[in-house]
Amino acid sequence: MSSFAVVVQGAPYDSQAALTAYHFSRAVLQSGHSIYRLFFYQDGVHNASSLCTPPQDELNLPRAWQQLIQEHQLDAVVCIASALKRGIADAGEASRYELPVSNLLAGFTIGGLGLLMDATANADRLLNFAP
Amino acid sequence: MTAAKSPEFLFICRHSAWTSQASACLETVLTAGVFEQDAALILEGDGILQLLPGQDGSVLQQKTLANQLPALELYGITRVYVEYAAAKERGLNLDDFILPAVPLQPGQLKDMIANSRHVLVF
Repeated sequence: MSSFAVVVQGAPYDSQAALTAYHFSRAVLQSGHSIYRLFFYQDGVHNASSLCTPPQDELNLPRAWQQLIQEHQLDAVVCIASALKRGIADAGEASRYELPVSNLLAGFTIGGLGLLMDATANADRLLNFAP
Repeated sequence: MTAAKSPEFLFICRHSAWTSQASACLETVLTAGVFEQDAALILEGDGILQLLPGQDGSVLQQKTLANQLPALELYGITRVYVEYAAAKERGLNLDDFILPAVPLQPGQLKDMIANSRHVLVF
């Protein structure tokens, strides 16, 4: 069995990257492998937004990620620089920058690129999903 | 500088300087340097335009990525490669680039990707 680090660089709905990353991650776990860390980078940070509201007959990808993360107790890190630049903030960052709202879905955490380096050092394989 | 040895961590950037992908790639490569990773950078396609001299981001109210590229060596990243075909297609001379970069032929590019432990593409 292998451990994977999964990097998601695509926003939900803009390209196939995020949805494929989601299906890959679910398949990995169903096959008995493990995910050391999910790392959401660049436009991929939008996968962690609590404000995405697609039509009811379409998949809510951020909520699907959240469910997967909570089901398997995954470490899901959102790059702090990418997130703040794109308007994704947890309560702490929203307070620090005096933003009117926080919108990071529960289950995701904000962190730096050092956590990506740590993932590459500790996972057997790095999978990168970019548009 | 040689094209023969593949790094543990290979970064590939296919975007020109005025893109979020290019700046994110450089930021990640520099972070790898901070963590003393065995890393190398390949600029493919439009990515090689990052190495052109005379760039000025102030016109676009952006940072000039070319000013940050020399930091690679300071962070221990001494292996920068370019896709030879991309330079040729664009009529660029490697001697004009702002950093010394080793040209890779298609076979060398393929081998480097195949033999690196991790590959992160921007």
